[in-house]
Amino acid sequence: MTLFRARRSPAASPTEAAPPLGWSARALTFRYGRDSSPVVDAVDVTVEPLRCTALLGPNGSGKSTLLRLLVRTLEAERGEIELGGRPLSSWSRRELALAVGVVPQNEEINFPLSVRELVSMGRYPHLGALRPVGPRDRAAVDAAMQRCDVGRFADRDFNTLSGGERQRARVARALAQEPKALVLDEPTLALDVRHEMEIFELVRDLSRSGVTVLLVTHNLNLAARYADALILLEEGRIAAAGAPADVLRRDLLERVYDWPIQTSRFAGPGPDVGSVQVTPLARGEPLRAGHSLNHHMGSTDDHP
Amino acid sequence: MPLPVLPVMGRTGFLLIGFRGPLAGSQLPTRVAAMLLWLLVGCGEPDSGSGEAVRIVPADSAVQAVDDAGRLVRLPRPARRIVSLLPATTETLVALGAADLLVGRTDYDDPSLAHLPSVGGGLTPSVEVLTSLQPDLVIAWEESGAARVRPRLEAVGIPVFAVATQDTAAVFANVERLGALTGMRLEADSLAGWMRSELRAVARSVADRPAVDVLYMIGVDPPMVAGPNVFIGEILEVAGGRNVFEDVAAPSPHVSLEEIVRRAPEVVLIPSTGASSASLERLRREPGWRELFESGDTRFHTLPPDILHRPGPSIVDAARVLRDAIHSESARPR
Amino acid sequence: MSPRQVVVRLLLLATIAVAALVLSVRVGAVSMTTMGVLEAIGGEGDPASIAIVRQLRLPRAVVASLVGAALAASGATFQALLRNPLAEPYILGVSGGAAVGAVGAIVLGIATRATWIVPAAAFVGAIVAVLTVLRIAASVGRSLDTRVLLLAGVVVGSFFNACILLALTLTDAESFRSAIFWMMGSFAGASWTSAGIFTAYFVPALALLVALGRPLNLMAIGEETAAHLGASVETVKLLAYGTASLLTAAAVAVSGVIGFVGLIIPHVIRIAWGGDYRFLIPASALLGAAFLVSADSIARIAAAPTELPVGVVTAFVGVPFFVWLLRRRAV
Repeated sequence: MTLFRARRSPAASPTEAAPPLGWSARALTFRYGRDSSPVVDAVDVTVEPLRCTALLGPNGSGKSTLLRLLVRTLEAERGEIELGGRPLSSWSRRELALAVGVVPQNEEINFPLSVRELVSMGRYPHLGALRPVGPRDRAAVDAAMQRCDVGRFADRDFNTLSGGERQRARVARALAQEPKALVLDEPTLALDVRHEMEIFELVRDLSRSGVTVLLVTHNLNLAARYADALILLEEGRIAAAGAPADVLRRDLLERVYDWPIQTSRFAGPGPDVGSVQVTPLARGEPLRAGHSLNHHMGSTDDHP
Repeated sequence: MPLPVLPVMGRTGFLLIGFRGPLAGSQLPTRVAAMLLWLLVGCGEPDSGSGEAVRIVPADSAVQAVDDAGRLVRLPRPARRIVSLLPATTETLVALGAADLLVGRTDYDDPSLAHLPSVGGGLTPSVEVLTSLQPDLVIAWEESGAARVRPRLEAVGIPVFAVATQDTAAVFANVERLGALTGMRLEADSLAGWMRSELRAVARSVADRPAVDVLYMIGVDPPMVAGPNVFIGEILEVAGGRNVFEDVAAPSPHVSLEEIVRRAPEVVLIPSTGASSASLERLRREPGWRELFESGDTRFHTLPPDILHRPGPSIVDAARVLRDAIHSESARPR
Repeated sequence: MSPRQVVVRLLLLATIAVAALVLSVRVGAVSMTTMGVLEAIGGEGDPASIAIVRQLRLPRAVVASLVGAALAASGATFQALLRNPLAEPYILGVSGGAAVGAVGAIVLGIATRATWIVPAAAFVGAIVAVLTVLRIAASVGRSLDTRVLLLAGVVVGSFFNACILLALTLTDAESFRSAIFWMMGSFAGASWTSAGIFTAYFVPALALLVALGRPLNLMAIGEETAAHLGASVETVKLLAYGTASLLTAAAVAVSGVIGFVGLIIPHVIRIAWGGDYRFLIPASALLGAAFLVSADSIARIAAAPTELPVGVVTAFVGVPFFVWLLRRRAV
C-alpha cells in the first residue's frame, strides 16, 4: 500500500534522472458493459517519448476512453500496453503518479478550495499521506502556478475562477507533479484564443524540455501546428496515425467527420509555417436524412 | 414489561391472587359465583381491623421484596426517605400513611404533595435532582426502554424498586411489597383488606343485574381498548360489566372500528380530560362512530381519567365510577 | 495554512472544548457553587454532591464531548467520500439500522435484562445497515460508486424506518414511549463504563481519519483525479467508510440519534478556515465536542428538572448560528 510510505524518493527531479517516457500499445480493446459494441477496437497506438502527440476524432470515437486506458483508469479487455518499455500493469500506482500527470476535462468541486491548495495536490505522489510539505514542494507548486499564469489567483477560491482559469489551474496541478509525461483531455475547451494558444505553446515547450505530451483535442488546426504526431480515431479504430500532413487528408477527414472540408497550408509567419490547416466548408443546403456527402464535393481543390 | 401476545382464546377470569387460568362456561351465574369465590378466597389474611396503625418494626431490621424485574431489593432498614416516580405508588404510600416518608415528587403527582421538590417527569426524571434528595428508596417504572434511571441511581448507591403494574393482582402485590419495604406490613394488610371489601361491596351492589357489554377506550385515535388482563378491564367486571374484548390477551390492544361495531357494546366508556362533551361531539361525527351513536343501542360516557388510570387504592373509586356509568339507567343515548 | 497557524487554531479549539466540558460539569439541575463542584471532584463534601458530580455530570460531559467529536469527524469524512456538502454521519442508513436494533430490543422486551443490551443492539443494527448498503453498492459495480452508495443509503434507511414504524405499531404504549425517547437521543444514561468503551473506539478511529487527511482531500475532488495523483482509492474508501461508519455506530449506540452536529460543524470550520482535511478532521472533532457538550448542558438546565432532548437543542441553537455565519461570510 503506497498510502503511508515514509521512504524518500531520489532527490533529483524525475525529469532529469530517468529515461523519457512513451507509450506503446497493441490490440487494445475495451467496451463498457458486456454486451455493447467495443468503444476501442483492436487499437495499436504509439506515443513517442519527448514528442507532443494529439489524439483526434469525432465525438464518440473513443478518444477519452483510449486516454483512460493509457493511464490505467480503465483496464483493457484485450491487448497490451507498455509505458517506458515496461508493461503498464507493472507500474505501481505511485510510480505512475510520479511519472504521468493527467489533466482531466472536468471536475466537480463542491467545496471551497484555494488555487494553491488545488495545485499542491499535485505533490501527493511525492509526499504520500503523512510526509510534511518541504521547500522543494513549495517551489514546485509556485513554479507550476507561474508557468500556467495562475499565480495571481493563488489564494482565491477555485470556484470563483472562470472556466479557462480553472483549466489552467488543473494543468498547474499536473505540472506540480513534475511528471515525465503529461496527458490532457481536451484542455482548451473553455479557453479563449489567448489562453488556448498559451496552452498549446506550453505543451510544445514541455515536450521540448523532456516531457512527453499526449493530448486529446478538437482543434485540428492547432494540433497540426503544435503536435509532432497525430492519431485519428474513427469509431474506436485508428483511421490514421503519423505526421500531421499524413493524417489530415481531405478524403480521410471528410469520411471520418462526415462534413465537407478543404485543406490548405499555413502561410505563417512563425515556426509552424507550412502546417496543414483544415477549413470546414458550408454545405449550401440543410442536411436531409440519407443525404450523401458526394453530392457537395463539386470542384474544391486542394491547395498545395 | 409488556405481556407477551399469546393466541389465547377463551375467557379469563381471576380465581386467586396472581393466578390466572381459563374459566369454563360463559353462563352468568357461574361467572358471578367465580367472582365471589375470588373475593372470598383472595382475602388472604384477616383484616387487622382498621384503627391504630402501629409501627413497631425495630429500627435495624432489614426489609426486602422482589420487584417486577425479578430483583430482590434489600434495604438494611425500612425505607424512610422515599421518592416514588409513579403516581399510583405515591398514592399507595399516602394511603398507607407513609406520606411523611416522601422526600420528592414528580410533576404528575397530586397537588397535595406540591410542597415536595419535583424531579421532573416520572419516566424521565432528573437523576441529579433525585440524587440530591438522598432517598433510600426510589420506586420507578420498569422501563422496557432506555432503563436509564435505575443503573444511574444504583451507580450512586440509591436502591431502586422497579414496578410494572398491569393487573389488579399486581396492585395488591404492590400494597404488600410497599408495606414490607416501609416496615408497615400491618397498615398494608389493613389497606389491602379495605380495598377488597370495598370492591366486594361494589360487586355485590350489581350482582343481581345482568352484566352489561362494555367497551373501555384507553385511546380513541387510533382506537385502543382495555383488554381483560389490565386492571381497568378487571375492574370493569367487578363493576358489573362484561368486556366485549375479553377474548383478547394483550393488555391494551389496538382494534379496528369495524371490530368495535361488530361487537356492539351497550356502553362505551371514554376517559377524557378537559371538555368531555367537546371530544364526544367530535367523535359523534366520525364515520363508524356515527352509526354507533345513532343506532340508539349504545350509550357513551366520558369519565375522568385520573382516578381510572392509577393502579393503586384508586381502583376502589374507579370501580364505583365505572359501576355508575355502566348501570346508569337514566342516561339516554347521546 | 502554515503549520504554526494549524497549531494555534487547534489549540484554540481545544481550549474551547475543555472550557465547554468544565462548564458542563459546573451547571446542572441541582444548583451547586463552583467551590462545591471542585470539592466534590476532589471527594469532599456531602455524598450526594460527590455522587452527582463524579458519577453523573463528569461521565456525561465526557461522553457528550466524545460523541460530538465523533459525529463531527465522521460527518466531515462522509462529505469528502461522497463529495457532497449535504452528507452527514447517518447517510448510509446508520441511524435507521441503529434504531431498528434498539427499538427491536425494547419491543421484544429484552432491553431491561442488562444496561448494555440496547447499546449493543443499536451498534449491531448500525453495522448491519452499513454492510447492507455497501453490499448493495458492491453488487452493482466493482467499486463503491458514490451515487449508488447514496441511493442505497437512502433506500436502506427508509426500509429500516418502515421496520421501526411497524414495530412501534404492534407494540404496547409503554414500549412505544421508551423507543421514542431512545430515538430522540440523550446522554442521561452516560456512565464511566460507556465512556471507557466509547473512548476505545474513538481514539484509534479518529487517529486513522486524521492520517487519511490528504487522501480525503483528493477524494473530495474526484476519485479519478485522486487515482491519477497516486492515492489508493479503494483502500482509502474502505478505511474511511469503515472507520467513519464504526464511529457513528458507536456514537448512536451510546446516545441515540442526535442530528445536525455531523452536518453543520464541518461546514463551520470550512467557512472559517478552509477545507483542508488534515486540519478539518481534528478541528471538527474539537468543535463538535464543544458544541454537543454545551447543547447537553442547555438540555439539562433549560427546563430543569425536565430534560430536553439533546437533538432539539442542537437544532434550535445551531441553525440560527449557522445562518448568521453564512450571511456574514457572504457579505
